[in-house]
Amino acid sequence: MKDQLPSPDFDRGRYERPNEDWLCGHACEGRPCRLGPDAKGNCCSTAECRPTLVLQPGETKGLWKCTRPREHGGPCAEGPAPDGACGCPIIPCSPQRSLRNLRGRITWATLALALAFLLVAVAGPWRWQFVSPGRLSVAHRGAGFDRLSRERFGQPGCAGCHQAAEAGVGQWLLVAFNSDPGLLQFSRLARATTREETRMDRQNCVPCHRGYERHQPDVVHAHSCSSCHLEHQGTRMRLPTDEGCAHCHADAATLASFAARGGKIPSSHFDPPLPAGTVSFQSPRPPAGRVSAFRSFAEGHPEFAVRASGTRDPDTLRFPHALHLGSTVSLGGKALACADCHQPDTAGAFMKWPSFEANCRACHALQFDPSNPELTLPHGSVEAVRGIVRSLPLLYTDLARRKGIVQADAAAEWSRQAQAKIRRTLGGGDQLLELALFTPDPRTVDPKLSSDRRAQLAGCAYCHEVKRDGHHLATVTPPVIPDRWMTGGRFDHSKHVQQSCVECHASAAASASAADINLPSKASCVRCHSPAGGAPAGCATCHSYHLFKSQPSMAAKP
Amino acid sequence: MKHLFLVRRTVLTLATLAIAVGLAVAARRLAPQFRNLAYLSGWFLFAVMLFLTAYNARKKLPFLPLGKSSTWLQLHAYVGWLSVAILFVHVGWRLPGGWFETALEILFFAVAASGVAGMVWSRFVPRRLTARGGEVLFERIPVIRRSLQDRAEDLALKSVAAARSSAIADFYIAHLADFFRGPANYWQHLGESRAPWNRIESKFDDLARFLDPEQRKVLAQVSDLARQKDGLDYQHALQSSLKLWLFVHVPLTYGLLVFTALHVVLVYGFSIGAGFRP
Repeated sequence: MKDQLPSPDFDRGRYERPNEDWLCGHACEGRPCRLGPDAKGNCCSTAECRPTLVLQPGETKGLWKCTRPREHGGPCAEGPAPDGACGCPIIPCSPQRSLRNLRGRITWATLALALAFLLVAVAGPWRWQFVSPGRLSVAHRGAGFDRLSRERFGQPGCAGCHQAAEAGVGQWLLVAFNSDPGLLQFSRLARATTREETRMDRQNCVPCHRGYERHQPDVVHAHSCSSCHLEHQGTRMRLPTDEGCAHCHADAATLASFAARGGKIPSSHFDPPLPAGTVSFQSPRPPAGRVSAFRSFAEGHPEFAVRASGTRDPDTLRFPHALHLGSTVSLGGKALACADCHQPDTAGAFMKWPSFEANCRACHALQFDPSNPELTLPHGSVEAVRGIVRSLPLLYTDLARRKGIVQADAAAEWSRQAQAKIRRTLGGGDQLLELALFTPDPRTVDPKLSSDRRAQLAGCAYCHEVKRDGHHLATVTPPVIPDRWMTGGRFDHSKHVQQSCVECHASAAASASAADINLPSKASCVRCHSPAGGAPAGCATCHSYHLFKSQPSMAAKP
Repeated sequence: MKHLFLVRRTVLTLATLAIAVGLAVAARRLAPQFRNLAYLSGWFLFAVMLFLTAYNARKKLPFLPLGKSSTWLQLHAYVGWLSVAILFVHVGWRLPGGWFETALEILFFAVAASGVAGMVWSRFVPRRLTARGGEVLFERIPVIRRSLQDRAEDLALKSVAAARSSAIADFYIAHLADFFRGPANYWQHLGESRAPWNRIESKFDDLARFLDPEQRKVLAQVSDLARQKDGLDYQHALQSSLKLWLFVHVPLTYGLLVFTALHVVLVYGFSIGAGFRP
């Protein structure tokens, strides 16, 4: 503190007036006048003092005395003029505004500037760009939306959703006051929950977005559109948040109210609508509904209904995955892999149905004569099988000709011998038909027969359920492979190609029956779809809130 | 006393932080349930902004029993920080999208930043002023400067007659007349630079070598006045900066209120509950 300066001398009796709007123009020179300017900023000073006339007893003229106060230098040396005028006239100044006044003026100027800027902005051609709180989603802008808006509401653009856009700027305040809840209706603001429809839902969203059922039929309160779909937040609408779902799905009391309502609704009403022709596996709905409370997929989400204990595939096709994936079955010297039968569809999201011709015939050729393997039973029609068995003479005669035995007698003889051989091993006409249609395992045919006579034909019943329908008449139960197993959620195989099949379908390799459902368990999904796994784990990753009872459509005004 | 000050500052800082975190957590928890949370947080923010602006009005109404100005200043600072947190909650921790919202948010942060800068400057400058010494009321600086100028001129003029030499008077006219006439070296003083004074001082030293002892005494008196003038300039520079930051903070605050008023009208006029269609 060696260099610390002392405070300069100053007459503390003098009073500064920083709060006044005007300061003497001489103040910046360090010589402000005593009076200072008036409230309007006019200089009032004429002289440094107003001399007083001092009359001594007996005097008639008197003496003018300077009255300049001490803090302004005291009486001047010159003294007043003989006529009583001050000898130190003050040169008129241009009073200056005080800092405080200047700040006030700048503040008012800023206010005026802000108002002018806003007026120009909201009245100018860029009005809508200016007031828009953000980019609209692609669905709510562009020529298509403008056309729809014009058809329905008579105006394109913002008026499609905002009534205020139809009115001029002057009406905005009126619309604001008439909104629901209105300005200053704080209690209504605080009471309004996301479980209510808003005016915009009723007036703007629902009339256009037809076919959008709100949610499952047991939901007591449908949420407002805007509780999930926030506009003006970019070209892609943000996905609903997990908190929004957890609002109900983590609240046991809310779910209990759903259960109470759902108990009175037939379970078929809960079936998610699928595109026409889609075959789906309908998991049995629990009697109380799917109403267990949980917060996230990783924490508490119930096991997939299709994997729930006791759920079996009712399909009658006999197909043991374990056998086909095991070492005993091979194709071209190589063990079978999942992809030998399961190939993705065109979109890649789901798998195509395996077909007999594409996937089974290579091993299960339906040959019945070891000596003539080119002869096979037809697939897909019981009548066709019957036809073949009943017309064996014709079949063999035709085969003889194809083998180059052109003479009729020779061909007939060759056919007779071949049929006799067949009769020895497989039996005669009815016996062969019985075998082709109804025998589930050729190895079980009459064990008393010698091995060379034991049938090697794996017929319809080897894979299919075949019901007897009168004498030699049969009905094959058609296999049903669902297009969708889990209809409550989305899935896309193409997004999971980095995984091997058995990582998710782990039970397939040990599945001995086609009734086993070898879909992934929730645990196998959680391995990746969880905060620890790093893959998206939000509700909207798999689920959609809406339950479309009909194809959603954009409806113009009827 | 200092201990009490630290305790009070810690308590108020922690309380502000706790309220801010509480608001953020409550908003996150309640968002799925309450549709109008943004409205409520917006009104809360608006009320807080009005309270912050009321500090300016409080200063204009010193006669009303509205509490001490220092208490208001403290509340202004802490509630100001809180308002930033409320804004983040209000906008949902996202960047603004549209032109108007962007302008509004920029304006808000300009006000907040100028407030923070002013607060930091207000804490920093008084220490510097005290350390340097020569404290004086800002409004008295011109008068004192004039007094120093008169005294320096007087010494310079008298030295001509006394020493029969115009060396000091010439020196005054050449190097000091402008210096004494008005505020000098504003930015150097703000930057705490002593270079201007060192330059003047070296000129005094240069001249002193050529003067006789009597003249040196006079020169020392002039040098002392110049040093006082330099200190006065320092006071002027720092004290005016303390006043001038309000020229940014206060006008922007009122501009922000105008923008906020339009924001309220737009939000309600274009809200999900705005007007029935016929």
